[in-house]
Amino acid sequence: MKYNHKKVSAFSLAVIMTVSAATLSGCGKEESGGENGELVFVDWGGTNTDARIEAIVEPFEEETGIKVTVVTPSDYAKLISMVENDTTEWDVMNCDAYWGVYAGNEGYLEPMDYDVITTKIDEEVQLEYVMGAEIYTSVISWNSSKYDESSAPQTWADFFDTEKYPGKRAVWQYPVTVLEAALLADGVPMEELYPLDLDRAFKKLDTIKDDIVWWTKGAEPSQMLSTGEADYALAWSGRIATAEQEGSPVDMTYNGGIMISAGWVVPKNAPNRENAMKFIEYASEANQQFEFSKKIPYGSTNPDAVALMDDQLKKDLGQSDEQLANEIYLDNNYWAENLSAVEERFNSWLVE
Amino acid sequence: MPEKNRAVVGDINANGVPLAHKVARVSKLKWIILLVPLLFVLLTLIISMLGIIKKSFIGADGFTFEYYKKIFTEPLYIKVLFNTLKTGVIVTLSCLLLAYPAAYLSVRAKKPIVRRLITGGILIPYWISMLVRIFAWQVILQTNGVVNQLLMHFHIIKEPIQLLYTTTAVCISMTHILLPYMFLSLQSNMEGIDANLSTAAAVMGARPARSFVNIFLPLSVPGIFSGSLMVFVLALGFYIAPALLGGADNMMVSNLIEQNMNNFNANLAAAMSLELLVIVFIIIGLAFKFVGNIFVTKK
Repeated sequence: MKYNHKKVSAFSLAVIMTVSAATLSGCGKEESGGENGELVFVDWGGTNTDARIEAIVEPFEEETGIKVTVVTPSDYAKLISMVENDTTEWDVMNCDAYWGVYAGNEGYLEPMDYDVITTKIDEEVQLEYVMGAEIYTSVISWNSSKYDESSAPQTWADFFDTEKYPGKRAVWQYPVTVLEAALLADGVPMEELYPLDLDRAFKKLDTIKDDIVWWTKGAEPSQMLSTGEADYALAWSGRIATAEQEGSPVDMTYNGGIMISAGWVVPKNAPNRENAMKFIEYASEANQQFEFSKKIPYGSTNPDAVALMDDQLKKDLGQSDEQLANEIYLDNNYWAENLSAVEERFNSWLVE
Repeated sequence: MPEKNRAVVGDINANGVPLAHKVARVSKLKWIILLVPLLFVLLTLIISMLGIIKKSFIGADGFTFEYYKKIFTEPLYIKVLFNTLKTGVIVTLSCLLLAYPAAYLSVRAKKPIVRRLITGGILIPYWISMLVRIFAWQVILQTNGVVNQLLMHFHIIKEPIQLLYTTTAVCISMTHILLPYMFLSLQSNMEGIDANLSTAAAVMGARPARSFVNIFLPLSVPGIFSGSLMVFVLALGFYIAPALLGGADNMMVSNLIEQNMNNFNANLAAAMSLELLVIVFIIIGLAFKFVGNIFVTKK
């Protein structure tokens, strides 16, 4: 039999292509929700998310029958593009609270439904579009094998004093909390910090610019301190505490700490908006926040959760009354309004 | 008079067959193989690209050149672009300097084992995750790292020098990551160079150096160009290596694009992306103009 090999293979190839294209386009969302629907929850990933799954997600599923899909990592650009293209697949995301306020003001988020969310948390982070989650604080930290509390900077003024405390400083390559630290170092009282005096802050930063090594990822400062790449650091408390638990030679003080709250946000037109609000309420309740803070060294935005902690845990998280007197919440509204312009100025200053 | 090497539709190319005739000879199966990926590229790349072009010109108040004006006038954006191009050039040159001798040796090696060792040595790191390699460079280059300890051991330096978080660190790691692209491009070009030409030159009395400069080097120019082009274009879009190994003055355009995406400045990010794309097009265009059909491999 004469068989036109070429023709048949061309045909079968076309068939394979068509079939696989059809299969691919069918790879949409699978309908496998729990008895009370489902929820897509987006978090940063890593040990943080592991702790959150144990402390919040799993008990929430058990209690409500809602099936939670955990997606990592949180991605601002992706949320923006989902909302712009009307293809929102996420229901609730953990983000920086100031970014949440920003996104809400720009119209990318659903407002918090305070009929469902009845738990009261710190008023600084209970906002129109954002509900505060865990706290991480920008603190002064140091290599504990080289320095101790008597030889390492203990205030932001010390941190900016290169004569008394010579050495490299690891600093976040981002204006948020860095400008606050500069102003506090320059003697601005905490209650008069906002709106930030940018000229003054940059002038103060100029004084240590040559002594700074910049970090961009939260895990870097503890690593820089351990390897001797930096002597002191402006770092996030949670990361330093975790590194310390893992045996790295690092220590920190909450004195002058600038508290950044992570926050829950619900993207505009989230498919399971109701469940998202229920989840946020559940995650904010004292017991769940307490369980989360026990697992991973991040502070709580719920004062009732802090009340459940013993003194040692409070101290470890910078949440004892004495410590809190010397810490300040980041002004989320200020940053939501000014982040874009200040970041541009900060970048210009960096490459000067 | 048309230049000899340029392949334009209708021209007679190297084999003496007009391009149009060659196109006509492509079989049905080949057309499908060609069209499916083309269609895929068209749908995914071109359409999304149109969205980016639109975004870069149309802001909240309609059509505007505001974003382009900003990236071409404000010092921040000019400096960061310059820095990106500078990094690209340094990385391309270092890749070329490292890969050229390696490729030459691998092609001219008498024993296949030598060739395999060289190729393997350059390609095996390519299979290791980029992030892992960047972290490895962090360890090697840090103040108390291997490099500093070695230099101090041999009394080349007295105090550890700052290597990490510098342009040097960024360029070393990017060269490491991009080296295989240059190597493969050079190797495939050099394989096509007839070894008898060098023998003939030697017979005519040319010393090895002369025969290399006059015969081998000019014939390897297409490999140099296609390799450099590939490395340079890839280097322009690097993001993670400058972020983890560089300091503040190593900010690249891709870092600024990311920040602006997060800050609801998608228009500015779009303008910066297109700026990079246009630069790449210009470079490819210039390469074509000056070196002819550099991508045609020798039969």
